[in-house]
Amino acid sequence: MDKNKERLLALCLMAALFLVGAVCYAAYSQEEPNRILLDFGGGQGKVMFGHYEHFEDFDVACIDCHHTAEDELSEMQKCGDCHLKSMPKGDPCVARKDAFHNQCIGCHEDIGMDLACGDCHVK
Amino acid sequence: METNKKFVVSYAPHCHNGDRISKKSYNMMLAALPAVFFGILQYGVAALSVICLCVSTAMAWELLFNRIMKQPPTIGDGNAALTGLILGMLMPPVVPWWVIFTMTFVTILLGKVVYGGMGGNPFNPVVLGYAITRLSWGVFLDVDASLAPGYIFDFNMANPIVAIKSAVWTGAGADAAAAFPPQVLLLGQHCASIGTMFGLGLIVGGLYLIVRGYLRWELCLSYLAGVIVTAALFSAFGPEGKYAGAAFHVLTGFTLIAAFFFMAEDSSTPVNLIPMLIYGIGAGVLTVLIRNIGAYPDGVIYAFLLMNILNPLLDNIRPKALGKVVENE
Repeated sequence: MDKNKERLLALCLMAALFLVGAVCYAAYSQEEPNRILLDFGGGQGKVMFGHYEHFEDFDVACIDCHHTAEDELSEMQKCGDCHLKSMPKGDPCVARKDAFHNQCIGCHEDIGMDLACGDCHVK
Repeated sequence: METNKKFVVSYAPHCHNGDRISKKSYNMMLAALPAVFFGILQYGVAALSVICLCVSTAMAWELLFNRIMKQPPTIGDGNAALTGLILGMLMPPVVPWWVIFTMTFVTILLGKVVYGGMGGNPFNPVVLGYAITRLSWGVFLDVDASLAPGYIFDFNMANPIVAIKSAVWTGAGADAAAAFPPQVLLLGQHCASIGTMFGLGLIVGGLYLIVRGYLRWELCLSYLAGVIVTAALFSAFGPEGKYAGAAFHVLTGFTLIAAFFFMAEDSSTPVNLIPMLIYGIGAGVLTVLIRNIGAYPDGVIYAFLLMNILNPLLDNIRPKALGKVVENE
């Protein structure tokens, strides 16, 4: 194949791939978050939380954690909407780190799972 | 006028199989396809868009720079497409479009164009582009973060190379690695970037490149030997159960794509046998050192950057020239 044909082939490839890439990118919509990554930049590392595993395998209801919702069909608030990194003095709402630790460790202890930091936090 | 050319001074590769650069590029893309297709099959449309955008934007930037610098277009040689494809293979399945555009821009500009184009680059453009993007917007290249929305697989969804990092620090790396047996890693039943999930596909592609003469087996084998021996030494002489074994290190992270595709980049790798062995073993040792005692989960990218810096020095180890100098009497 001579250079001109190679160049033409490359141009066609570039245009076709860009078109496919752009259409696929536009068509792909984010689904409901089944797994969320809790990454607050703490020294212990980030935590991967699986919604699916929790409600399928452990029978946890949405409102067990999203406690502001009235029922399972209500709009769920994000944890970080209220539980800020540090809370103003006198605010009854606990800070984000404590909220997660209380919720996760408390629930796991209730079902007899003794957790070490590295069981949830990964670097 | 004398028109006979007695000496042609050209850049690496000095030893090749007679093929044109375009043939090498397209053959390398062909070799990468099993791993790429598997990744797209697992991750779906999102991964397809990442791969397509990486390849097409890398080509577009090269074309643009050719225009700006008033050079003849070089996208016909397929090198820009190949660079884009390998970059795409290192990506998680969901990446914002602007990260892809910026990454391919940086890769082509700082990896190739500023050195005068292909062959003059001291660093592997893919490695350099990825490292800069990873340092700048690491969270967008994080496989765990990328997989968070929308993906459910019926296998362990932790990214193995990240999962064992914290386990190593708590002294249980071997236990954590046991959750990812070799067959799982070979058959792509684990979470990783698009083109590094399917270990078997990468190995088949790599063997194809070696057989066709596009990849020097000395580089590939010495790198894998460096990884295996260092990981085995850590495993044997480190605290019991702290470090993952050699098979885990070979089959996770970017090890296989580095052994078969980073090593096939001519300009940033040595051309003689002894430098090749030093380069490969050095990169392998550094990879495991960074993984086991360094701060980053995967050491491949920084290991290659460091060895790229060393490469011009290694190339000075040359075979003795044939013949001898005769003093004129």
